[in-house]
Amino acid sequence: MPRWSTCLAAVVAAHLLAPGEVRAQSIELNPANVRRSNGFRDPSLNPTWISRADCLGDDKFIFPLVLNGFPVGYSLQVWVGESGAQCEDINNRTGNTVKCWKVVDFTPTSTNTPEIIIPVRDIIARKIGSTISTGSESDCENSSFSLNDTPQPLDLYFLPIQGNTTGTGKIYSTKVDLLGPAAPTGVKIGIGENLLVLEWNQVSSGDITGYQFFCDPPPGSSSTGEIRSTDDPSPFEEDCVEEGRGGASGSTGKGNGGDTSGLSDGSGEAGQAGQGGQGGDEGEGEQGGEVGSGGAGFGGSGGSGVSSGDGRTNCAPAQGSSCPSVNLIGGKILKNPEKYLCGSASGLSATKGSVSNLTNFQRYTVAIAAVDGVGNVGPLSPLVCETPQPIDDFYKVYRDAGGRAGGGYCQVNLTELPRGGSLPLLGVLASLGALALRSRWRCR
Amino acid sequence: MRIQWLMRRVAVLGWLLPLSASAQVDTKDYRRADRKLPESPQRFAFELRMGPYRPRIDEEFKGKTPFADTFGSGQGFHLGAELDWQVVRIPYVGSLGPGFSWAYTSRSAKAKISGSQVESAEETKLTIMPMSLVGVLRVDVLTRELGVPLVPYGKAGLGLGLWSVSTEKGVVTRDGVQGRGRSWGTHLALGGMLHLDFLEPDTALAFDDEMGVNNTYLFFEWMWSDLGSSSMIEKRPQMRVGTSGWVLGLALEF
Repeated sequence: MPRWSTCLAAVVAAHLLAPGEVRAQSIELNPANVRRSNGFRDPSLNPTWISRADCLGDDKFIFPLVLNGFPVGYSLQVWVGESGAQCEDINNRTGNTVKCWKVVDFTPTSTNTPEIIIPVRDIIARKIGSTISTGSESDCENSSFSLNDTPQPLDLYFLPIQGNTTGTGKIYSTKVDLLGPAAPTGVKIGIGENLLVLEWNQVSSGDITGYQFFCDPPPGSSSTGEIRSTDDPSPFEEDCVEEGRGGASGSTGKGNGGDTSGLSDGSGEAGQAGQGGQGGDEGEGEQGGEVGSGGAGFGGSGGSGVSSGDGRTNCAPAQGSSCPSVNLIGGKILKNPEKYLCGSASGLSATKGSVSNLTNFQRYTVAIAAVDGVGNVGPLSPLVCETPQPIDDFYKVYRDAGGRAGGGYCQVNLTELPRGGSLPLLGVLASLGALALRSRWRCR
Repeated sequence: MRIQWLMRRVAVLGWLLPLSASAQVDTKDYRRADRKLPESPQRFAFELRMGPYRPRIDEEFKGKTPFADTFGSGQGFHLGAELDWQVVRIPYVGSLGPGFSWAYTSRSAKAKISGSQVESAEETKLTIMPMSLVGVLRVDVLTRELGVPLVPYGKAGLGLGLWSVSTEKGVVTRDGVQGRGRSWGTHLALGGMLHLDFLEPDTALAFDDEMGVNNTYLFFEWMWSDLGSSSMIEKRPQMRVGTSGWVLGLALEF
């Protein structure tokens, strides 16, 4: 055998048999083709990120891959690490300095275009080690990502791995955000006709995109607050029974209602938040604030100390609370916010909004929660309550005085032709028109 | 040529003696006749206008003041614009042509809870868009021929006001009647414009050469509008959203 052919054979054999580097293989992953089992949310709400609702809804990433020359004996593994974790380095996957957790271990067989399905719960579970991280619903509330209300960057590494050998992979980046923004403070409520007006202090932290309002009873419902259904034993993320923190309803504050001078001059003082009581009590509070007792205007918000104490068997409202509601509790995160949603305001800087389609003379308890960049709804603000009433808008005052104008811009009821004093005016305009035409004609 | 120019000047002086006698200033730097470059064609005038606006709604009623009761005694404010077409140039007088103006004003206040004097948290708002189609005569002979930087003018024509009453929920409806409508009337105005080109003659010339703006003015106007007071055009009940008062603004001729 000539020397050159021997050399060539050696090179080919080395190339074919080399265990340390995967030969000419590639993993193709187009981020635009990635799907979600529950679909993408609104584009304005970072649809490729992971939210609490995604987790609670058991959403899954679906990654369509194209494998070219995937080597025999290798498995396709997906590892997750916080941004910069460098999971392609074996030292970050195993050993004492492990930073990454495995969510998929897949052996390609007959297809070169597998679809890798990864539950977001498995990503969130963050079970570091050699076994596959699997998550559950509880991870949506109790994972390490549940403690921070700012989005956490994550990288998913799609790697061909055999033993200690790692081939060239692909990285898909996302973010996880499971905690909504803090509750707004300084909430005030005012009376309108079939409407309540809300004001609050802007929440300064977090990636807030807007605020949502929650009403008990919701608009269109005549219930008086006791509307919890049997299949929804607690409307909150944390069941009140499990609440270990003491805290009777406490004094919900003075909450002086607006005086008779009304909204601008008579804003009621916000009620003081209820103070935590002794654990084990039934949570009886002192007399709640008489919100808006002076008439109209913004009443102060009731105290937020209506959370339960030990020994409570349900989330019944504390005695004496000025805004009793079994469905809304200040400081709590609603499980199904859509159920009580009654309005919203968009934008971080929003500090005012209104709830419409309410029934006059029906008392409503209302709370506000901030919403972040992935749609996570934060905990409820202290509760406020008020009763919509008819108002005298200017048009009503005008009509009551005897005015009869109105009916729309385009109602056709012209009299025959303009007469009297208007004729000279129209004559002037007609003359000007004629002059204009004459001028143009001359120009030609 | 010199004699003709003198005769023209004397004729103008005789016609406008009272004004010219009190406004003789040396303004040769900015006069059209002294311009070194030919003036660009002048066909239009544009005004940016502002001033107080308190509609005369309460004049409709005897002993009742729904507007004052709701919005108080403040004057309010309006902002508007007008475009005039200077169709005709009358020798030794000025320009004449039609003009269209549009303005916007609104008043808002907290509505009272029905049957009480207690203010609610809901706002009630009255929005008015006064418009007019007028004939405009601008007597610019003083500036053109005598160098006096004043242009008196007058406007007369037809006015139309579109108004609406709204709350937080939108336009209100009471007794099945929508709270918006239109009001017709007469529109009259008299005013004077101060020619600003004499402040910066070179800039004024450059403005004309580069942008085609012939003249820049600051103007003060007294305006009278009886929107809704007349049933000559429309017999349907109308809200008296007209007003009278002064208007201040900036005008460009181009």
